[in-house]
Amino acid sequence: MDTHNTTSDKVLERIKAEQIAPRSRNYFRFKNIGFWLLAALAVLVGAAAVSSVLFRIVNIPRVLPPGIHPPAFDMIYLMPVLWIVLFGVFSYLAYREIRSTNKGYKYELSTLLLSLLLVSLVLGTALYSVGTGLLLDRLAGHHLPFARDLEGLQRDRWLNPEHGFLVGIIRASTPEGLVLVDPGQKEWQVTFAPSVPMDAKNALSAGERVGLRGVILTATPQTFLACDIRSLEFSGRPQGQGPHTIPAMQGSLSRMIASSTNAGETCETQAPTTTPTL
Amino acid sequence: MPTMSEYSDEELVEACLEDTVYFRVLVERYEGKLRTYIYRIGKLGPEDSEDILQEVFLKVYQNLNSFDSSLKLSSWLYRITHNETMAYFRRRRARPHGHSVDLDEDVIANLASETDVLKESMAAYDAKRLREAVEQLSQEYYEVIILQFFEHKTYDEISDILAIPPGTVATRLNRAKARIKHYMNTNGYVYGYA
Repeated sequence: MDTHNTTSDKVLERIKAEQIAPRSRNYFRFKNIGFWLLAALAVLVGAAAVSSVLFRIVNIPRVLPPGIHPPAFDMIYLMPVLWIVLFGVFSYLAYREIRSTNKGYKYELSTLLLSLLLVSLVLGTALYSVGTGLLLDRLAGHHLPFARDLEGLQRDRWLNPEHGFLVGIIRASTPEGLVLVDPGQKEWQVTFAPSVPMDAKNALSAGERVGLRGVILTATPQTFLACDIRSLEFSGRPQGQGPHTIPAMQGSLSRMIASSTNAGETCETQAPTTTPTL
Repeated sequence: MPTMSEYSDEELVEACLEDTVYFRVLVERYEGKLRTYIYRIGKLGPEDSEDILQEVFLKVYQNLNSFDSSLKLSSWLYRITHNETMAYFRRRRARPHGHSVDLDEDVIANLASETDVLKESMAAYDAKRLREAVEQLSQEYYEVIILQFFEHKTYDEISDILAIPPGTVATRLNRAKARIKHYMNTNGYVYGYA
């Protein structure tokens, strides 16, 4: 039997019997566009992950109290493992989608991966600079059971007034002291100890997140003597958030702080040296 | 006006989209080559090869509009055939049943020359041993050797068929040749080493 005729006959018979028709050109056009769109989406997610990784790496020093070296496990906990894994996964997906496009297989693996890395880094840095890193970090911390956001970690380490650590947002400030709202929305009247440098005092502005080391003076009203003050403001905040000045409040604030306390000399004897673990 | 058999591949694809009758010409033009290719990469019997071949042409027909005219039609058809053959083994959760190559004199001469073995005496080499050396290659190396030496495809065509970058084709070919040479050397088949 002539197999040539048999094959072509069988193929044509099956085309007719199974009513097979060529798929339209648009089907393939949209499929190709779909692959590129998925690749772009994967790159975007990868870039978002990069922005979150950048946010963590840049801001880790603002979570750790000064002079405290956490155990290695805590450092791993602070690292943006989730986002690094996400970046890896979505870079791989982007690679696969690009490989699935019409000419995608022509690209060398190393060229493609390097290009993806470069695009993700550039895009990720841009996203970080407009605050996406912070937003994603918050989102993950609030919605994923195994993730902690950097703000939460900062709160765990710095909000411990009994041990001499206080963190919060400045509501108003003067050269003598400031009014601070901690993450639990409690208001603190803070007085600067003489040891606080003038530069540090002058650099403060309302709306800024600061960390204080010192001692509680009175529990009601809540007053705190600050021996050391530093900005804990995260880099990579969304635009519009962060420090700003409220000059109108400063006169009344001075009087309020001056009347609340006068205990600068307790700083040397009660300054804390330890911090709670996570 | 050209007859059906005189149509170029590209003209034939366009014609197939207009009328199924032309598809018979396309099938008849390529079925022999593709059947041999299926046998070479899968070592399948005639019935299984026929089944795969039919599936290949049905896929070709269904996807005629995806044919990119910047490729050679043969490359596109070989790619579908390669994918369909590998899918056949995946469906059966099996690996290709070994490899099978028929070495004619041209292939032997080319392969011997490219792998730098047996160069001093054509009479000294043993086609059976060279065939063994090719057949023992792993799938990724075997398929590039088949495409270059048996199907006479260029690097770019192999790249299009296997959907891998041309640089990877070159790397695999070099490694495949090195393995053939190593096999021949370690088994004492190279002239002067025996």
